[in-house]
Amino acid sequence: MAGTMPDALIGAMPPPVIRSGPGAWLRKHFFATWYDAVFSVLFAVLIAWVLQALMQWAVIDAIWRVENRELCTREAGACWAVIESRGRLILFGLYPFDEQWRSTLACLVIIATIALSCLPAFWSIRRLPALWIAGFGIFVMLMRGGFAGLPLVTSEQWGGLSLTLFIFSGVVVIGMPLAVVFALARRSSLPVIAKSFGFFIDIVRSLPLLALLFAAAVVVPLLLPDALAGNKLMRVVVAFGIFFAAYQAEIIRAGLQSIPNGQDEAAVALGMPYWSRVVDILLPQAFRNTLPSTVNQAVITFKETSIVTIIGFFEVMASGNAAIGNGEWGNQYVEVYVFLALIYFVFVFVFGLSRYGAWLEQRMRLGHD
Amino acid sequence: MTDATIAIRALNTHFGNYHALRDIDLDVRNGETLVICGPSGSGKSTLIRSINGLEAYSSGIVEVLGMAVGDNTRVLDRVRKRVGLVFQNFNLFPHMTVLENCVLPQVRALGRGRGAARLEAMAQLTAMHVETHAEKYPDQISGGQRQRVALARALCLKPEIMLFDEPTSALDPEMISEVLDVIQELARADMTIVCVTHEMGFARAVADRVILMAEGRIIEEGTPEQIFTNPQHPITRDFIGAIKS
Amino acid sequence: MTQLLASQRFRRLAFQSGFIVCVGLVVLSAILVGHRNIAAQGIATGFSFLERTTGWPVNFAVVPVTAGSTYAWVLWAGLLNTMLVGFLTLLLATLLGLVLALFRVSSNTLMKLVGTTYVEVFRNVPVILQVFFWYALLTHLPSPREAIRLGAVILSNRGLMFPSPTLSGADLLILLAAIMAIGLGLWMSAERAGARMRWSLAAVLLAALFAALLLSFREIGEPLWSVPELKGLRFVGGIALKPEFAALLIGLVLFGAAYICEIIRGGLLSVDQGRLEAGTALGLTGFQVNRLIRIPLAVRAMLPSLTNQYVWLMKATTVGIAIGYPDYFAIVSTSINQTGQTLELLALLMAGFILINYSIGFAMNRINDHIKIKGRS
Repeated sequence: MAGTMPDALIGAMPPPVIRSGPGAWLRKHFFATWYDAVFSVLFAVLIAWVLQALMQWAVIDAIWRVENRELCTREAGACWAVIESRGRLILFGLYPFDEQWRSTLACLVIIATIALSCLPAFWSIRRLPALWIAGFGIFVMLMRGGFAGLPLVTSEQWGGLSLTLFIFSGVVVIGMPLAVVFALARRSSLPVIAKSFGFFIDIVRSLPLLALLFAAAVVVPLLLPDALAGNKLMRVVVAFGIFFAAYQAEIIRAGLQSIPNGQDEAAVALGMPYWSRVVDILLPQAFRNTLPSTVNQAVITFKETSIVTIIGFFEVMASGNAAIGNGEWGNQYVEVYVFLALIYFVFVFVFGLSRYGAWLEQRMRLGHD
Repeated sequence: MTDATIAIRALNTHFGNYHALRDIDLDVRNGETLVICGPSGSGKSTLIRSINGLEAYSSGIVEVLGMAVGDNTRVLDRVRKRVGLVFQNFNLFPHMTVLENCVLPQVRALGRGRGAARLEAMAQLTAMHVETHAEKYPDQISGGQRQRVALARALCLKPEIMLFDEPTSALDPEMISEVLDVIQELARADMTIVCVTHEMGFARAVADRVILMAEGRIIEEGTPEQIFTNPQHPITRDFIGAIKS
Repeated sequence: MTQLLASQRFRRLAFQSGFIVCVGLVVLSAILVGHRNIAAQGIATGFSFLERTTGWPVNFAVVPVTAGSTYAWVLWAGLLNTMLVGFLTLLLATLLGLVLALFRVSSNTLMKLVGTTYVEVFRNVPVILQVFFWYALLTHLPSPREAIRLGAVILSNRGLMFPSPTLSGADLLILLAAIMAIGLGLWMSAERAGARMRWSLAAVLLAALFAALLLSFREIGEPLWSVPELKGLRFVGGIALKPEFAALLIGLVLFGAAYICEIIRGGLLSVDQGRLEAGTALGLTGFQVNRLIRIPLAVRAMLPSLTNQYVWLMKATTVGIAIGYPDYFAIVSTSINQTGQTLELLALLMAGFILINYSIGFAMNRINDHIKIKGRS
């Protein structure tokens, strides 16, 4: 027999221990190796210190009411009084004080529209556009007024969060249908159409958003006859919508590509017309397949609305900066910026990919619809 | 031309440099059941898909129900409403229920009202013995059931010709017979059928005529008895031998 | 006739020709209207304005810029500013993102917590808000007289000052060019000599060049090192990072690191668990499994997303205009205000960004092709 077996075993070793219980859990998660242990201790101390300092500044030492404004010195805690004093400016800009119930209502309408869009019940090719057009339309009518005894408030006076919401919903209402058109055009079997739309989409996607909006605000009036130029806000929202459409078109195109060819062939064999194949068969599946990416794109767009402050629009970033100003609240920039960050955080985190997206993915894995 | 329901003359199809169909001449009479057999790559799918315009061809004539299938979109539209096609992969619409799969094409292609469409759909689903699954989604039913739903969906448009492109090739063996049975019922009801299949038993029971294709040509033609028991062409003999074993 | 109209070939041809005609008409009318409007406003067309002097100063540049510089020179300075803050952002954000990604994939729960909190906080706040925040923070630092001192580093509202070797701007550019050349040399000789020798050679070359630059063209007695010192109301010596530059850099790096962390994490998680287990079964230590298997495969997986993120970060440098950093966009915008040559300048703006983004894409694609796993497509 070939000598492959050793004459004696090396010496039986004990089997590997599978530990369980709280001690083992602690060890694995916090103290697995010596440098893990060091980090755990270090971070624990750091986190505790940061949390304590944060609580001290933001809550315990903080000043909440405007009456106590004199107490707002550098050594004291957070001066949240600035929010009470300037909150309306940040949320509604320079909208007339008496009419701010209208802008509040309008903002709630948009928030409701966004919330309802997340419910699968609205996910049909008819209901979703109808919902958004209705929501946007009601928003504009409420804000603008000029009928049924509501005084007229033109768009120059819209500001703060309400302007941010207007720009966001305007971009979505213009951009989504455009995205569908772009995606279908790029996949067209007519080479001229496919190549020119492809070229256009690639150019738009490689440019900075700011440059595009700047061009819309400043250059386009030069190139259009006066009648078509519209006002600056409209031009910027349209340009932003085109930018959004270019990105969303690529997402939709990926969704369309993931549908097996046989579906369209079956629809053709059944004699269904082109528009029905697109609207009833292809688009619903494309959107379902790419829902996480679409939600992500919407979230990014909401954050990007902050860019328009550079072009001179008085949206929530600009109104925040105005609230700080150089006057009495000049040192409270941290409080105001944190407030702005919280506003964005609420929209972005709640509707954002982090939580809702994960829920969506889970739902799609379990079934359909 | 002739009074044949389907008339194909000198059909040639090229995919780039590849000559897929070579000089095909074929007539299908009204009510006839034609089975097309042959090794893979012989052009069977291409031929059957040329009948309803899903594949374009390079030269020749394809006439269906007196209409010339070619470039004319209006004619293609009319042809597709009178010719049904069942695919190997079923191609049901996964985001709709079984019932909606059958209702929507009627509403969109024929302009029928939803109520009438639903009645027709339920009737066809019942004829295919899948009416109990009407409210389910395609991925909740078995392969054999899906194929029967696909057949019901095509039949809802009341076609005069039914085309089958390897209808049982994607099915698990135990489900093949349930699909072949309903196709057999159709054949007995005098539907004009062209079917691409490898199922010899089915061809024997149902086909009026069997043609064999290889390398883009029709190499042999005859009754099922002739083809399966006494093949003439060497390729036919090899092919029949291979399926038998 | 109806026969012709229904023919698919005819329809396709007609539709496409009609499309070209429509687009042509729109472009033509835009040009005509544009011409009329520009002439009405009395602005000349053409690029001759590039040779005019600007008459306005630029508060930050790597190349010398004065009010007497030409538009062409000032635009070039703006492009360099964008590239400076852009490439630095890419570098630092990648390093920070890497650290955060390692935190998030470690088994230590506290590390994971720190990583996740960081990503969720910095990803969900708009980048312009973050830049504003840092700018406000830096400009609220005490004035030079009461500046905060950490050793030789001084923080004041005039900027962050560090001691530095006495190298001129030209020296720095030579150094940068040498680094890129050596990097290219390293990459191209990858197949030949051993890794350790190549890297040591590269390091020695670089150190020699650095010493040569430092010691050449020097007056007797001039110190090698320059430390910022308070003279009157300002600081002299050392390197000063202006608040505009520092705030933009910090804001972009912290924001970008959050996104890059997620990309790197995605790449690390995409490596098939089976391969890592195979490595362990073969007797490799944890470190070796990471270095030899996980990281190489992860890098290949994450390269496309990383490219997209780099391009996006480059474009994000345009927010610098909001805090007064003179990047390419800011300079173009000011130039448009001053000269009215809107169309030409916007064309230059778009060309500049397309150029930068194309270069990043090109470089990343070359790297991708080089490290791509052969046989898969």
